[in-house]
Amino acid sequence: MKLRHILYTAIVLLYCTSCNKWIDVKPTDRLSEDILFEKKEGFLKALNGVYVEMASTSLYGRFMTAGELDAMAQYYFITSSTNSYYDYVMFNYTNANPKFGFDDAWRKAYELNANVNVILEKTGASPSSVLPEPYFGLIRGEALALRAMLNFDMLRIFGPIWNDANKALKTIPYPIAAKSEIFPLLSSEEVMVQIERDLKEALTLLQNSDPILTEGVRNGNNPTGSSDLYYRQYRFNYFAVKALMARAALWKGDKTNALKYAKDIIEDAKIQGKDIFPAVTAGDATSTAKPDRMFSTEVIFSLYTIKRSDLYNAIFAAEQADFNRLSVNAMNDDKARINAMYPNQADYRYRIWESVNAQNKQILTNQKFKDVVDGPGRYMIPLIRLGEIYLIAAEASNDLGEATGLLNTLRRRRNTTDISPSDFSTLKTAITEEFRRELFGEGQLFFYYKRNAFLNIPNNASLVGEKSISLNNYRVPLPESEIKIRGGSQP
Amino acid sequence: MNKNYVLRVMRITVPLLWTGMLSVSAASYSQQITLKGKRIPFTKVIAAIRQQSGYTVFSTKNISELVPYLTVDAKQMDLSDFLKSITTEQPITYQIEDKIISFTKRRSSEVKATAENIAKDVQQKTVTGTVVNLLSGELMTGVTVRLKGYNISVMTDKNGQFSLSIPGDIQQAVLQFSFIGMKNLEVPLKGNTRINVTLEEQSESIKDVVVTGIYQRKKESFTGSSTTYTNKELKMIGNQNVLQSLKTLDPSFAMIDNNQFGSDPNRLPDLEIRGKSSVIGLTSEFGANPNQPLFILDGFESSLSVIRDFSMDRIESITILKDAAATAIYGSKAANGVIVVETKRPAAGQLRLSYNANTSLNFADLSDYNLMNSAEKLQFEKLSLFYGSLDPNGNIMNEEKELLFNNRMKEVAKGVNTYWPNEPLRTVLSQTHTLFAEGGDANLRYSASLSHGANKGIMKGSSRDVTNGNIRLLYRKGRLSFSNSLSIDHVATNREPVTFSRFVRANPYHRKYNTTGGIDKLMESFQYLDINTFTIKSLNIYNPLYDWNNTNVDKSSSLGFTNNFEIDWRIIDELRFRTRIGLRQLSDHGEVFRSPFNSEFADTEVLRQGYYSENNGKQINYDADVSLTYGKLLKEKHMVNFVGGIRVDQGYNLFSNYQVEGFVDDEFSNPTFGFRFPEGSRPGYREAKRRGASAFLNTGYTYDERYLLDATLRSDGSSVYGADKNFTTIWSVGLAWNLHKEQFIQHTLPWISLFKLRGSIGTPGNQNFNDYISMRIYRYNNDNRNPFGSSVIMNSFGNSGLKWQKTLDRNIGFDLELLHKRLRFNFDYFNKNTDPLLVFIGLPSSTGTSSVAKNIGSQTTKGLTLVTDYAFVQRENFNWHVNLNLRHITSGYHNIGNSLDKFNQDNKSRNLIRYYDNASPSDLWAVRSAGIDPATGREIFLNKNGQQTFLHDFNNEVVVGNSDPKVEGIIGTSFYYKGFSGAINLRYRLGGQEFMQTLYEKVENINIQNIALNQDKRALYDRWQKPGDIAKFRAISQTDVTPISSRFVEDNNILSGESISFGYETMDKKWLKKIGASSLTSRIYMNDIFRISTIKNERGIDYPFARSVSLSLGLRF
Repeated sequence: MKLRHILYTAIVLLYCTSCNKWIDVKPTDRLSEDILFEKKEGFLKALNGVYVEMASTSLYGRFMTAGELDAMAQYYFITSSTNSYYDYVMFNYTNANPKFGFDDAWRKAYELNANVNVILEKTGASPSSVLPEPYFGLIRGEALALRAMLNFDMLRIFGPIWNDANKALKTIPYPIAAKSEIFPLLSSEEVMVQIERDLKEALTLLQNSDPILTEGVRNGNNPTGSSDLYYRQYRFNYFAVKALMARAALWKGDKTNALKYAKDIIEDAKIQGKDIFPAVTAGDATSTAKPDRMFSTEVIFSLYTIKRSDLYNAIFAAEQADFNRLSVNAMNDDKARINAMYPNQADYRYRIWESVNAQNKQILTNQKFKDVVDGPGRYMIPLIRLGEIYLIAAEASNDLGEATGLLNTLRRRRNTTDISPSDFSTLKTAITEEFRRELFGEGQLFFYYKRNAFLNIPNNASLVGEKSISLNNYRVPLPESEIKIRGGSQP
Repeated sequence: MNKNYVLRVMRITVPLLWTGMLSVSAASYSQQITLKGKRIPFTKVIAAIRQQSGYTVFSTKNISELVPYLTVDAKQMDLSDFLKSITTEQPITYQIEDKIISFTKRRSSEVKATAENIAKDVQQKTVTGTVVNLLSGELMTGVTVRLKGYNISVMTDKNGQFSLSIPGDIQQAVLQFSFIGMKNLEVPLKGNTRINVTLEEQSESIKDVVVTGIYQRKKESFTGSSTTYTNKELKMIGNQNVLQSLKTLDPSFAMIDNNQFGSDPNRLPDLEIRGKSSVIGLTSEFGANPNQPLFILDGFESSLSVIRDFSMDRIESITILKDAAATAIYGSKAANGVIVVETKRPAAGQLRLSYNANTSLNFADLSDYNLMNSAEKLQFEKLSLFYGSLDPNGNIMNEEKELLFNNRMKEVAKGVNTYWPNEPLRTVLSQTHTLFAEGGDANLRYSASLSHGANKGIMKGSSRDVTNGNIRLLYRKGRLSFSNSLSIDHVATNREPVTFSRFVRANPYHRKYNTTGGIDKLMESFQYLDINTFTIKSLNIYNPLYDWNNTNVDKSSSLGFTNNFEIDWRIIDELRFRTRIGLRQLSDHGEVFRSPFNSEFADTEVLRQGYYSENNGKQINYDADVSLTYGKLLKEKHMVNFVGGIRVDQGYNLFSNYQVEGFVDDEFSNPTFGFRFPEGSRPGYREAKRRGASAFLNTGYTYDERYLLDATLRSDGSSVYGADKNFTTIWSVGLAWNLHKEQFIQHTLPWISLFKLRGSIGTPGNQNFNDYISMRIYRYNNDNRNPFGSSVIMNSFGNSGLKWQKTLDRNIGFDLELLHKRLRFNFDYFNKNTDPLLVFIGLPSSTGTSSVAKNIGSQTTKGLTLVTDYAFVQRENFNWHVNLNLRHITSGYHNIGNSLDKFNQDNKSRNLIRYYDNASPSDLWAVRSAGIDPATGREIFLNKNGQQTFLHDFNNEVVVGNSDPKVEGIIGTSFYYKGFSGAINLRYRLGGQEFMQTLYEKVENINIQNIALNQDKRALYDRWQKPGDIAKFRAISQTDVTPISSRFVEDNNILSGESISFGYETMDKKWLKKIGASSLTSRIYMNDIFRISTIKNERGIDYPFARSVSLSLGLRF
């Protein structure tokens, strides 16, 4: 009997906490979540990880901005089927290139979405000793906004055009849990509800914690320590959330709110009367040594990537091989297309075009993303800019005078002349043209066309003029990596 | 504590003791006393004894007072009889020790007994005595003393004394002494009323004991399914490694042929015991092969490579634990069975040496290769339209190409017919030498061994050299013993520079050497039209000999250090406490250098030619356990055993590597001559730690040696599994019935000497998984920085809810021995159900990952194994046996739904393995083929409804075969005659199909680039050429991709000469004495010497299989 007691004791001993500790092994060559989220710095690192990865080429580092999505917006003259972007321009979504490209973007977006979800799970619902204010509000607020943005952009690509008939169609999931469980496909309407909920919570959190509201963007290093609360232009700040709310409202045709949010930004983005996002100065816009082609001061939200020169080299540089290059002509110096695009060549935006000698010829090159050493916004990839907010407001306004005023404010900032559209239709055309000029290289034009369900868009196969587009082409089929496992085809 | 070493102790000490005893008794017999007289004073009697025997006699004054006078009548009486006669009826007793006789006062109880004796002299006598443990020399309590033939028994008291009344004739009475763990002893009384006996520990042969590494049981009282093989049996089959021998001996043990790497000495084999318990085909996702059994070396966990490299001559026995009752003590690591290796323990005695040499002559088995000769190859190229279209007369239309063809024809006419495959091959001698020394006394014993194996591969440049040194010490004092074993292993490997397949692929119409005798790098450059891009491309054919002769290095070395320490304390005879601590450290180093001149760099930019990589690893493993073992026979019929203990272990793994590229020369294979790290590469560094903790309890109960019950409970914790599921409980229950112990069998069927029915059920688990699959792991992003400092991103998602993979393992079986053990059967039927399976399932990418480890579905494996053996002749110096064993296994998936569909999609067009519910993991899935249309040369497929179609659609896939055989096993015979012995074991495999890789890759499916490489003869002879041809293979001119269909699946029946051996052993020959040896064993083997198969499929693609003829020699000094 005594013996049995010993054995029982031995077994009981095993369940003691020391044994549990013994087998709880943390890796030292990799970072486990338990160690990472022990400190506020870990949260900052994990959140920074999402921003850094967003700048990868499969997302906003190329695909979702200056690359494939702008190609789909027909900015370029592409007729050769060997061009890497040809199938995008022609909306051949089932061909190898777009199939792979969209799959890649989707996977990256949801990989980041999962990262964001873990951060949200770890922050909890209220500040803690590990994560006090303002960090709690900032980290949770930014994470929520990032989740909304990633899903909103996926909806804008893979979802249908918003209208009463389509908004109930099942389209994409909206995964909100950190565990790798499968979320059901939701309708556009349901997705928008989730996006708005996340954005609203983000806005509230940031209202109380975002230093942009008191200190401005502060694009410089903190002289006394870490720069966690600096460089607000490169973070999902309070105004960026509001801007995304405006974008989202207009997407679902809610002009009232779109106008309200947009005007809030235009009017409120000031500290003691000073603009937080001031207009580009004539000096910066026309400087030859360090031109601000990006109008970096006006950017509300952007990504910071030291690899931005890769973007320029990969798709715009005159040295790049023809089949990889995005060009507004047949790889020469023909300016017909841009001259049509910019009626006024004094427009600061026209300055991105330069003729460069390469491959033994003059090649017209888009230099918006060209690396300028020590130039303004050297590492910036703009995602939301004030110009778009003016255009959203103009589009959302029911008052022709107000709309024209908003449009002309933007045009003046760009060193071009006022216009006076006689009716809403002329205004719309003006806004469309302005949008095309203003958001070149930022991936928004395709969504603008899609939101407005345009049946005619610029023609890829001629330097000027338009081509018709089938509304089906605005919707990209869900990637195979999603539906193959889910089973069945797209609903 | 290990029985084997007890056995060894017995072997040495028992004879020693016996000789000692014999000499004593002989001496006493020679002493005779003659003395007669009444009332002789005791002192005078003593003086007489002293005088006549020459012995020293001690006595005290007390004695003389107790017995003042004696009446004696002895004439040439033996000393002992004389002493007995003078003490029997007196209150004194005596003792003889080393020629010293001492008289002492008899204790009161004895006096009383003596008095009673006198009283009951006529009707009944009482026998008294003591029982002593031979090894410890201590008196034994609780020993059963039984009068043979009567239901009379007593037990020894706490002083080891017993007293038993004997009815009837004391001259005829026989006493039986029994105690658990000790040898039963029968002592005829021959009229003596006082006997002192010594019991020795049971020295069953190894085969009668089941060694689990944690505890051991008598085979007869064990309910689990296990088999033990002795060194001798293992060496009867082969002398290269134990795994090879086990494969032949035990049908439940399978070694999966590696078709890719054949007999590469540096590839570890894939092993299975009783089929698979985990999802196969996903091995790359796991850290280790999830179907690999657990290896236990002298009680400590070991690895496949250590066991494979282990010198066979150091091994005492190997036990394979198969069912849950046997393996559950290893809990969550035991689902795939356990292989327990016991090494030889030192025996006491003078220093003795033994030497074993094993040599084997290996050569390649190329019988499955069926390559074209130069004329055939040229003809094939022409018909495949390699030289462009042919006119109706079969002539090449393009003039330029025709010229090329004709030039080649000229070469062929000149007799150029190069046979490439012999270039990298050799017939090679491998050797292993083992030197073993042992000795010591009853307290301290030692052994030292040194072995060196030089295994040379049949491909030139490949080798594996293994050196091992071991020192073992055993110290025993009373009830406490300590043992320590220290080993150092060194392994050095080299790999061949160019794969065998490149030589097989080389064209026979090319010459190896150019006109000056040198080797050209480029043999030929073809131009061809690429159909996909409509561009002319050139195809370069390089001489494999050129690369072969460059400086290429692929070597590795490892140094291992193992120290196992053990304390064993026999608290009381029934209870023993043991603790063990094991430490194993292994460091390895590997280098690969590829010459910049190699053809693989021909299209690489200059700065990136050549390659060097180095990797370094370190492993440190600790193991510690504490256990208590209790065993006692209660009331003669109830045998109980308990084993309980706890165990902790830790494994630490460190791995680092880097690469360098850009070499200009291959004079030195030194990284310092490289140019830079390859772009985008970074130094690798992996550190992994896994820990486990467990407690176990095993109880065994036997009633009257007839009804047996075994139960095991183990609680296991591991860091591998989810934070939420750190611990799991594993159990097993086994029952057995020894029918041969039943009266009704013993009386009615006396020709049954053993008949044991067994059954068991349990839930062993599996831990062969990646170290960190249960947690989220982040990585730093280094290449993109921003002002916010460092950034991290999730690298692996982990699954903290992961449950342990366990297998419900059920087994029934029987052991039967008939006709004086001439005919033996061992049968097992098992049913293993792994539920839930741990698999990596595909997820929709919106979850953020494409796959995650999940518990899903189940896998069942059912099967049976049978071993039979019949002795035609069974005499002392001559026996002849025939043996047969077989294995039949089927398995299937359940409830996996479409969760593994991702792998099904990936596998389509790659192989025939699919994961579907109720299908077997070894099923081969393909679209059925109705053959080749004689009119067009196109393939006709059958859809699911059996209708013919030209369209290949993966949706029409059905099961077209199964790669597992219906039955597989060994049929063999063996004999022994006066030191000569022989054994022939042939492997047979019946039923089951195989995917014909060769047909798929080298007969059909040859694209335009591959036409320039050599192919299988059937590509020329068996393919469709013109309308009307009834052919098995598609039109010869087709160069597009052929989808896999049932045409590429064929029945695979095999008979192979797995092991044939003859040996001679002798012990006491005069010539042996002359060289100072005491025994000799020698054996000659032929392994895998022939192979007959119903299919012709290339085996050993990158490294051929070997046949071997070996010799082993053992000398004991």
